[in-house]
Amino acid sequence: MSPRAVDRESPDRLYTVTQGRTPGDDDPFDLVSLIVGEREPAPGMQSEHVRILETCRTPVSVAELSAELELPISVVKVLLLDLRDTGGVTVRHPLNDELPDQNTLRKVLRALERI
Amino acid sequence: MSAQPVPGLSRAQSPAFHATVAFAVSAMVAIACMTWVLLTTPPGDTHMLVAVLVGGTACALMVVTGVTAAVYFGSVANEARAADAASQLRARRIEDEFFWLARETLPVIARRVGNGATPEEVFEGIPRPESDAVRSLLTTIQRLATDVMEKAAAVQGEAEEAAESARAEAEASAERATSAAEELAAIEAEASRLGTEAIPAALDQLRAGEPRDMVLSATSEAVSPALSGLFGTVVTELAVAERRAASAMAACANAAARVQAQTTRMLADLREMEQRYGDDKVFADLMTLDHLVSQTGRFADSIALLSGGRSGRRWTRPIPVESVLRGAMGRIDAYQRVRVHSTCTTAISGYAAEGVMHALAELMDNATAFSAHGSAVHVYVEEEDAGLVVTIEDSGLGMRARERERAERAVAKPLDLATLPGTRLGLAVVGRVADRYGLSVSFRPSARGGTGVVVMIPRALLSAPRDAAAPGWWPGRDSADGSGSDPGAAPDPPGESGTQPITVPGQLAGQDEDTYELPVRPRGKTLAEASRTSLGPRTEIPRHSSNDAGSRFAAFRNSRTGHTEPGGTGADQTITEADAVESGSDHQGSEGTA
Repeated sequence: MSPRAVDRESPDRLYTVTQGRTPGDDDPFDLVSLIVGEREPAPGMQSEHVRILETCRTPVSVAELSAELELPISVVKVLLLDLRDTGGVTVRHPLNDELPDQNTLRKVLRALERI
Repeated sequence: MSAQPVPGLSRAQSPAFHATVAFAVSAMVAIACMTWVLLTTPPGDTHMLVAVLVGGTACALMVVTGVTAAVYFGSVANEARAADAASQLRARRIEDEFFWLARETLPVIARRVGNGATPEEVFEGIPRPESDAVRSLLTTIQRLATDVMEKAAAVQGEAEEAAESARAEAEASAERATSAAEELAAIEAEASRLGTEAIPAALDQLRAGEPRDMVLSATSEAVSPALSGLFGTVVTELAVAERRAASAMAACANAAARVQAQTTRMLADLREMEQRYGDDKVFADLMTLDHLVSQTGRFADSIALLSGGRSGRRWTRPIPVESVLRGAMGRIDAYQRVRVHSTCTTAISGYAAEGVMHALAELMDNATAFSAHGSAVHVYVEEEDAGLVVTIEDSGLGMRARERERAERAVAKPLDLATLPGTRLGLAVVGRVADRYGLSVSFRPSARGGTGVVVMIPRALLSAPRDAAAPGWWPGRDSADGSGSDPGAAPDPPGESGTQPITVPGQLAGQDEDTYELPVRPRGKTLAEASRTSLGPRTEIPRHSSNDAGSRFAAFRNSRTGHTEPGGTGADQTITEADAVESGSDHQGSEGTA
C-alpha cells in the first residue's frame, strides 16, 4: 500500500460517485475524445461534475480528465454521460478514422530523432 | 313522762276528778255530821259550841285542803300541758331532721360518694343532727357508707391494679411491636439502600476496575447479617459477570479491530485496483466487491464502537459534507435509493468525520430497511447557526409513538454490547456516536409518511474544507494557476468544495514528496510497517505513476497544439496517442505492483 492509499484516500467510494453505474458497451467516449464544457458549474451539483466543468473550459480529453480527477476512466465516463445528457458538455471525437501509414510515422520518428 | 302521748293526759285528769268527787263526798259527810250534831245538841250548850267550833274548823280545813288540792292539780295539769307542748316540739324537730336527712344530707352524701370523695370528705361539713336517733342513724349511715366506700375503694384498687398490669402488658407488647417494626423498617431501608445505591455504586466501581474485596470493604456494613451476605453474594456475582463481560468486550474489540484493519486495507487495495482496471470489464465487479467490503467495515466498526474500541479510521483533514454523506451511503446495502439534497459546502473535522459517517450510515440503513424497496430515502442538509442539520426521511410505515420513544431512548443513552437490550446495533451505535461527539438525534413523523430523523451536528465539529492547504490531496491553487493549463479559469468561489484547483500532475508528484516527510501510521498497522510501506515506493518508483498517463497525454496534446508544458515530463517522447494510453496503462500497472 502506498501512502496515498491510506492518507490521501477519500471516504467516497467510487460506486457512490456513480450511484453504482458503469458505462455500457456503447458509450460514446473514447480515451482521446475531447470534452468541451458548455456551461459554468451550478451550486448543488455533484463535486465531480463541478470539477469536470471547470476543467473543460478548454477542451480536455477523457484520459486527461481521469488523471486530473484521479478517478478511473469508467467513473469519468459515467459522470460525462450525466453531463452530456444534461447539456453540460459536448463531445468531440478525434479525427483518427485513418491512421497515418507506417512510412509517415517513420519519417516523423526520424525527424524527431534529428532534433 | 315527756314521751307520754296526749291521750295519757286525759287519763291523768281522772284522779283529780276522783279527788274532787271524794273531796265533795267527804265535805258533804262532814257537813252532814256537823249538822246532825247541831240538831241533836240543845241550843246554848257548850257541846254545841264545841261542835260548832270543831265543825267549823273541820270545814275550814277541808276547804283549805280542797283549795290546796285544786291549786296543786292545776299546777300539775299546767306542767303536763307544757311538757306535752315541748314533746310535740321535739317530735316536730326530729321529724324535720329526718326530712333534712332524707332530702338534703343523703343526696349530698350520695353525690360526694359518686364524685369519688374519701369518707372523711364525704361527711365533712354535714351538720350533726340534734336528735340522738337521727344522729345515730346518720352515724350508722356513715359507717355503712364508709364500709361500702372502703370496699368500693378496695375493688377499685384491684381494678386499677388489674388495669395497670394490663396497661403495662399492652405497653410492653406495643414496645415489642414498635421495636419489631423499627427493625423491619431498618431492614427495609437497608435493602432499598442496597438496591438503589450500594449495588449500583458497587457495579460502577467494579466497572471502573476495582477488585471485589475493595468494593466490599468500601461499602458500609449492612444492618442485617442476611443483607450483608446477600450484598456480598451479589457483589461477587457481579464481579464475576463484569469480568466476563469485560473480557468478552475486549475480545470483541480486538476481533473487530482486526477486521477493521483488514477492511481498511482491502478498501485501499480495491481503490487502487479500481484505478488500475478503470476501463476494464472487471471494474463493475470491483465496485460490487468494494461495496460489500464497505458494509463489512461498517459492521466491524459497529462492534468495535459498542465494545469500547475505536472507529475504523481517522481522517487527517476535514472531510466535505458531500463526501461524508457519500461515505455514509457507501456503507449501506441499498445506497442507490438514497437521494442527497445538499448545497452545503462546509466540512466536518477529521476526527469526527468517521463517527458522523458511521452514525448517518446506520440511520440511512434503518431508513432503507424500513421502507419499501422501490422508494427513495431523501437526505436533506441545511446549515444553521447551531450547526449542520441532516434530515433523513423515508416513506415507510413510520414509527408508532412507543417505537419512537424506544428509539429516542436508545439514542439518548449510550450503551455498549454488554448493556444492549436487543440484538440490533444500529441505534446503539448512533447513541454512542452522538454521545461522543455531541450530536443530537431526534425522530419525528415524516411528511412523506415514514419517519424523519433529524441529526444536528454541532458547529464545533464543522470547519472549512481544506483546499489549498490540503497536504497532497488537491494541491495548491498557486501551482495550478502557474501551470498554464487552465489560464482562463474564473476565480473559484471561496469555500466551494467542488471547485478544487486543477492539478498539474508533475507538480503533484513533487509536492507529494515534500508533504510526506514523516511516515503516518495507518490504523491497524505498526509504525514500522507503515514507514516501510511509505518509504518503499518512494525509493523504488517515482510516485507520479498514476498521473503519468494524463501528464504524458497532456504533453502530447500540448505539443500538438503548440503549447509547451513548463517542466513537462513527457515532451521528449515521440509516441502516438495509442502508445501514450498504452504506456499510461503500464505505469498504472507498475503503480499497482508497488
